[in-house]
Amino acid sequence: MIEVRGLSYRYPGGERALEGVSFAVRKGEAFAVVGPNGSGKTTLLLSLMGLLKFRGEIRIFGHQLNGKGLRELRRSIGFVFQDPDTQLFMPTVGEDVAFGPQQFGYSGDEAKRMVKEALRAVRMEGYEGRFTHRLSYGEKKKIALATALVLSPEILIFDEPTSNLDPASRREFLDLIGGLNCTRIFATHDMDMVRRIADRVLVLFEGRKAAECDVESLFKSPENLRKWRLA
Amino acid sequence: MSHYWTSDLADRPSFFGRIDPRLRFFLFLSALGVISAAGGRLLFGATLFLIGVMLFSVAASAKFRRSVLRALLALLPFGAFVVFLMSLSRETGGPSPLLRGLCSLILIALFVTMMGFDELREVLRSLRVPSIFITLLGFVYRYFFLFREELEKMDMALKNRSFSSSRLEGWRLRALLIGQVLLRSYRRSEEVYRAMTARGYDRKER
Amino acid sequence: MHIPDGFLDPKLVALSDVAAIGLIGLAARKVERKLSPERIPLMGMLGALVFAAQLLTFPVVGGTSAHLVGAVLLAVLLGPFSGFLLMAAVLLLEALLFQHGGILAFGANLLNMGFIGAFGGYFLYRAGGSTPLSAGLSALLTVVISAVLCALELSISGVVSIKTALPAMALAHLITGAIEGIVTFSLLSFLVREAPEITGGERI
Ligand SMILES: Nc1ncnc2c1ncn2[C@@H]1O[C@H](COP(=O)(O)OP(=O)(O)O)[C@@H](O)[C@H]1O
Ligand SMILES: [Mg+2]
Repeated sequence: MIEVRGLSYRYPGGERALEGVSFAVRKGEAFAVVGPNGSGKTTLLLSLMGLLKFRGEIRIFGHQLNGKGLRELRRSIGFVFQDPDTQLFMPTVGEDVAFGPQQFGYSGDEAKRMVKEALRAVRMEGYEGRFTHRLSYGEKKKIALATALVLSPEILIFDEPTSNLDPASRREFLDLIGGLNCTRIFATHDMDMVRRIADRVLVLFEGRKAAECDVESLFKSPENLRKWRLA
Repeated sequence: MSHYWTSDLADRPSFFGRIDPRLRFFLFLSALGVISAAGGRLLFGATLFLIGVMLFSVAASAKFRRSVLRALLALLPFGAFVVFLMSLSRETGGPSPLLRGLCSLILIALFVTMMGFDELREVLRSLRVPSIFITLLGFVYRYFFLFREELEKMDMALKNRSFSSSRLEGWRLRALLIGQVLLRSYRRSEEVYRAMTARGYDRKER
Repeated sequence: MHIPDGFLDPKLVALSDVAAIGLIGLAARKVERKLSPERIPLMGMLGALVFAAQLLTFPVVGGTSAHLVGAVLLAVLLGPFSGFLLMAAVLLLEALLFQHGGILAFGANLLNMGFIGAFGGYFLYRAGGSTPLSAGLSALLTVVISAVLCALELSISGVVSIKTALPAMALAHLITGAIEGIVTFSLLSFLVREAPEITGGERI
C-alpha cells in the first residue's frame, strides 16, 4: 500500500534529518514509527504527505508521490498534526472541519452533512458552532481528528497523538484510533500505545532506520529498546 | 479571561437568533447611523431610551453586563480627553458628542451580544466583501487568543526578572519579547500552511 | 487614537467610510493576485500577533500608558497593501471585541492609522533607506501624523477647537510615537539579525 525506498531529507541550512530510510506499510494495519526526540519521525510523516521535497521514492497505492496528482492522493490521506493549534486554523469547529470538503469542491449542504458525520465519529456531535480557541486540549485533539476523517481517508497519519493529553483524554483518544479500520501510521514514543494498538513498528534512530518488525519482537529485546532510547 | 467576544450558539438569545443575521446587521447599522447624527431632543430621547434598555438588559443577562461594562470603559479615555480639550476653549460642540458616543457604545454592546463572529463573517460574505479579507479576519481572530496568552506568559517572566531597568530599556525589552513571539508565529505560519495544504488547499489548482 | 462613534460629522464619516471600503477592495485585489499562497497564513499570524501586542501597555509617566499600533511593522514585513489590509482586519476586530473605536468611525480610524501607517509608513521607510532605523523614524512620524489627522477631523466636526486640539494631540503623541519608533526599530534590528528569512520576504 505504501512503499518507501531510500528516503532522505535535509532541512535547508540544517543537518540531515532522514538518511536512506526504506519500509512498507500494509493495507489496514496500524503502523508505528518510533524513535527518540529528533530522530526524524515528523520529517518522515511530512514526506509521506508530500509536504517536503525529499530524495528517494515513495509510492502510495502504486502511484509515485510527486507533483502530478499529489492533491488527489492527499484527499485519501488524513493527517493529524501534533499541535492541534496548528491543525485548527479556523475560528469555529464547523468551519474548520468543513475546510477540507470545501477545498475539494463539495457543496455547502454536502459539506455540512460530512462535518456532522465526522464530528459524530469522534463523539463531538453538535460542536459545529463552538469556537476553537475555547476548547480544551483534549477536545481540540478530537476535532483535529475529525478534520482528517471528514473526507473518509484510506490512510490516516498521526504525529505524536497522545502527547500532552491527560490520562482520561489519552485513553479516549486511543480508543478512537484503535476503533478505526483504515490504515493508520503514527509517530510516537509512547510505548504503551505501541503495545496496545500497533501491529508493526519502524524504529528510527538519528535519521536512519534501526529496525522494522512486529510489535512482539520489538518488546522481546530490552537492551535494544534502551539503546534506541525507547525505554 | 472573559473579556472577549462570547458568541457560542448555545448562549445566544434565541429571540435574536431567529432574525436573519443580515437584517440584524442592517438594523444595527441604521440605528447607529441615526444615533450618531442625532442632536437636540431626538438625542436626549434616544439617550434616555438606550439607558433604559441598557439597565433592563444588564439586569436580565450577565453576558450583557460584561459587554456594557467593557463598552463604557472604552469610552472613558477618549471621552476624558475630549472633555479636557473642550475645557481648554469655549467654541466647542458641547455635550452632544459625548451623549452620542455613549448611545453608540450601548448599541454596539447590544449588537455584539446578539451576533456571532461566524454570523458576522457570513453577512460580510453575502455583502461581497473580498474573501481574502474575511479569511484574514478569521486567522487574526483565531490566533489572537493564542498569541495573547504567549505574550502574557513572557511578559510575566520579564517582569519577574527585571527590577532595575530604565524606562527606555524596558521598552526595548518589550520589543524583544514581541520579537520572540513573532519568531514563533512565523514558524507556526509555515506549519499552518502545511496543515492547509494537507487538507487540499492549493490556490493554483482551484 | 481610536475615535468612537458619535464624535465625527456624519458627512465626514460617510466620506471616510467610502474611501476606506474602496481602499480595502483595492488592497484585497492586489494581495489576492500577487501574493504567493504560503504568505496568507503568515499574514494571518502576524496580524494576530500585532493585535495581541496592542494589548501590552507601555508605562509612560505617572499612571498613563501607551500601546502599539504596529502598522509600520506590518508594512515593512509584508508590504504596504498587505499591511493595510491587516490593519483593517485588526481595527475592525478591535472595534467589535473591545469597543476601541467606533463601527461607523471605522473608516476614519482606518485612514488615520492603517492608511497613514501602512502606506505612508512604508513610503517613509523606503525613502529613509529601508533600514530598521528608517522604519523606527517612520513609525514615530506616522503616529504623530495620525494624531494630527484625528485632531483635524474632530475640529472639522466641531467637537473641539483646532487651536487647542492640534498641539495637545501632537504633543501627547510624540511620546507614544517615540515608543512605537523604539519598539519598531528594536524589533526589526532583532529580526534582521536573527531571522533574515522573515525580513527578506516578498512584499506586496
Ligand atoms: N524546520 C526545521 N529546520 C531545520 N531543522 C529541523 C526542522 N525541523 C526539524 N529539524 C531537525 O531535523 C531532525 C529531525 O526532526 P523531527 O523530524 O522533528 O524529529 P522527531 O519528530 O522524531 O522529534 C532534528 O534534528 C531536528 O532538529
Ligand atoms: Mg516530532
